[in-house]
Amino acid sequence: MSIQVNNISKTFGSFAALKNVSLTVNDGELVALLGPSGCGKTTLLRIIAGLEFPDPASGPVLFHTDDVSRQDARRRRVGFVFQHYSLFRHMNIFDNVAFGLRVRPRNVRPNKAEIKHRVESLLNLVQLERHAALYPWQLSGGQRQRVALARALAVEPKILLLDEPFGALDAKVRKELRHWLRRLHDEMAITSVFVTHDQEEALELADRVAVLNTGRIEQVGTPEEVYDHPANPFVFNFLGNVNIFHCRDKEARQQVGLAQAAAATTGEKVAAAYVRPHDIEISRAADSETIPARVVHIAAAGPVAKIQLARLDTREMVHAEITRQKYRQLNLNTGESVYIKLQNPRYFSEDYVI
Amino acid sequence: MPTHRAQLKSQEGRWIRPALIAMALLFLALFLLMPLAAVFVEAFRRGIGAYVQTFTDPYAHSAIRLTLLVALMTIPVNLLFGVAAAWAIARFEFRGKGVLLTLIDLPFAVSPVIAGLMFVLLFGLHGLLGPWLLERDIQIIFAVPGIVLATLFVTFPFIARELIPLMQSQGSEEELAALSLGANGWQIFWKVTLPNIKWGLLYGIILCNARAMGEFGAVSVVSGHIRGQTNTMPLHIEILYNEYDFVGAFAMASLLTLLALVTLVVKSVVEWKSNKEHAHTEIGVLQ
Amino acid sequence: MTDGKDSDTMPGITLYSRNAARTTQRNILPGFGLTLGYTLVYLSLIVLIPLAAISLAAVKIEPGQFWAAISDPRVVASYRLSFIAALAAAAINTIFGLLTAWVLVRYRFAGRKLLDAMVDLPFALPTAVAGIALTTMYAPTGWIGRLLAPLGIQIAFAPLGIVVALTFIGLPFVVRTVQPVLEDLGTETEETAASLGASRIQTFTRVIFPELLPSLLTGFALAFARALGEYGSVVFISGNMPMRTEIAPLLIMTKLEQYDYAGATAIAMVMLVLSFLLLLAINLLQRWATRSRQ
Repeated sequence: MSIQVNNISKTFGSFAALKNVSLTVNDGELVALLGPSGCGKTTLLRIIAGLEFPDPASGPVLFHTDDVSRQDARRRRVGFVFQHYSLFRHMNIFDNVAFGLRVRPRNVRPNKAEIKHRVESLLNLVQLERHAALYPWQLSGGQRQRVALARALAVEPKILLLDEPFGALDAKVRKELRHWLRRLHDEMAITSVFVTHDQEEALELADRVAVLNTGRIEQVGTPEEVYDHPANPFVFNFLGNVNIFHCRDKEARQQVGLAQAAAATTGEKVAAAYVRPHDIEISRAADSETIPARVVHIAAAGPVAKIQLARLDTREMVHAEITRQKYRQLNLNTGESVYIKLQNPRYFSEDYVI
Repeated sequence: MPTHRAQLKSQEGRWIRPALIAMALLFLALFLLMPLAAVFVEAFRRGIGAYVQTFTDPYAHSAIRLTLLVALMTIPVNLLFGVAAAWAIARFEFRGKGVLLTLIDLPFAVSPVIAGLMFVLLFGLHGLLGPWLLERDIQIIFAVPGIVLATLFVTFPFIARELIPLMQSQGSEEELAALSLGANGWQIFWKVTLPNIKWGLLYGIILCNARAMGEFGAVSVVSGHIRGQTNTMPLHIEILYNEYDFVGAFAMASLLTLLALVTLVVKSVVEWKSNKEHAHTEIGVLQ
Repeated sequence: MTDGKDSDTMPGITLYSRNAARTTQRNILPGFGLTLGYTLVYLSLIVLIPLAAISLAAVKIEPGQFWAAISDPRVVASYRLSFIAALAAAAINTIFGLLTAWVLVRYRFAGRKLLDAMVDLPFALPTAVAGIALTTMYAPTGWIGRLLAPLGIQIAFAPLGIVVALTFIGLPFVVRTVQPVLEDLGTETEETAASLGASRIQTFTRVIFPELLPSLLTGFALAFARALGEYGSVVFISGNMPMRTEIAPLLIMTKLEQYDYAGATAIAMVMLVLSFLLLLAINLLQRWATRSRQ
């Protein structure tokens, strides 16, 4: 079932959490809402779930073609996984998962045997079949997360919403659960939206990513699109590390790559070049587009070598990431003077405030 | 750090700790334990026979009966109010919440005698509704309804006061989860909210009960002290005491004292239970 | 920060959290109209209408008569006695309440848990029972009165007796407001102060005491407010002599028994206003205490 929200605004007192947000999630898609804390991503998710209602002037929320704007969370039949799991602390795992089935009106409530069967198969799915009699406090964070998921799936929702699903877990469990969730989604093909502030998580897990900032959607696209073709400096900056090269005057422009800079900046409009660390090329030979710099610090442990350099002209710091192979070829040492060249720079006008 | 701790201890001086403990113990013994002991010592001064004998008095019977009746009528009403107020205040945001909280606290600040006086001014013969009630032959003051009303006023905040901070600290995420799973209002309350607040609720009830049974000032104003009819246990204690029937007074007092001790035991159990549950949640978060 | 203590302390001293941990707009759950409506109706019936009744009765009294009623020397004496005795009792409770809280939190000794539970006894024990028990103890023939009589000290049937009764009923307030703060404080701050070279006394006056001050004042105000209106425990021990041991609530009672409703209302109105001012002060103090603990 597809989800469509149109022109949603939400204000808390004088704080505008969402400003005219529109988003479409296609049937069977897994979409990430990505952004820093306070950007409105959780509010948007809760509005989709019916746990929050948008300002009166907002447009409708559509599930497939049905307008659900006036329905509360109870009637929308979405599966919602809360950030802190919100398991019922006085119920054991079995009862937690069975809850949604047991509160159904009598005429549509499955009988005891059916409930038992359904809960057991769900616990099987989340690999917690042996924990049915335990209470939430006896489980680890990752296990609780899986119970919360099973509980949400028990009511067979057409839409699954997850609020920071891995937020409270440690790094290792996070990664495991991430892969597991992706597999689960592929098996069940249930339209899903999850909220995260972790760009790596969003890029790795989602079919499409919506990047939010201060109540607006900055860009929506596949992970490749938003990473390789960020719409603006905010998206560029939020999706990874970045070096910013100011091109205030002709001279500066020349230094960061004359031809491209001239093409990108119309007239005298101030611009800056944004370059990812892995797009900084280091060489020992100068040409017309290189900038001289000195090696300040080298961190060579790990999959890539991280080189910190200082431009000789402006003394600004530049962060570069090169392969270990390249690093060995160059045979770099701290204090040496080298030349850097910018690959794939993106130009944005400088008055853009991040 | 062990060194710091050792240093602290030595700085404190060897005598300070036992001296402070001794002073606190003396204070508590003087003000808590001795009055407690006094009640039972005086009640049994003439032996167990005399003690039991006092309860054969029909006036004692009727006082106990009336006190139980008042508590039985007060608790359900204040329970319903406490749960409703806690639900509205701890689960929703609305303007004027602070004012509402202060108004709920108001009966704590009003002297019991003034509480009684207010009902006399409202329902008494010379009160606002006095003539109207007289015409219809309805008696509230110097009768059981007045006693119940005064008790309701005095015990008004107890259950709400217990539940509001408890429900606020628990947050509403579990209820929202239940809602998103399709539960309706009643199902949410009975299956999710109530199990989470049951210990606090129990303590609120037992505390409300202790106050309802023990209230003296407010009830004294509206009761009229008619023996066998409008005398509650505390009022009966006063009459016996003023008639120098000390064994009778303290025997009756010993019942109320036992009630107070039961209240304290329940409080300890509730605190222990909720601390245990709290500790569980804490451990879970750390994992 | 919040432990069990916060959520289930005795009434009158619980700090409401003004912004709960997870701030969400909560108007999604059902039952708001029903519960708030019921709350307001019941509040009006039991609290607001009676309050309106006494205010109305007070307004109806002629100003001259009102002033005469509250400026009568016997009334003024009762006000002074109520005020001073409540103040003295609250002061005693502040000092010994702090001591008790300190000992209960910081030291481990046999019977500590029992004592901790016993602190709430004055909340649970009917005031009339407390009154007769204390009177029996402090009467010239009682356990303690007998020891003090040869020294010429009279407690029961004297102003001192009123202070004793009011100390009893106000005992839990300071202990229960200071205790959670002291538990939160831990020993780390003290150890830091000590490691920086502060003496034990300096540590207490400069580090611990300022932290405790808001809760200490809150506890004091609560104990004072409670003592001011107390009736049940005092009537037995005071002896009720006009001009000497007659507290204001008792005088209201006396006026009522003489069917002097105007006089009773006038005296009560002054006390009500004072109580409301105290409630306001307590509210502000609690807000301060909560803020300084965050």
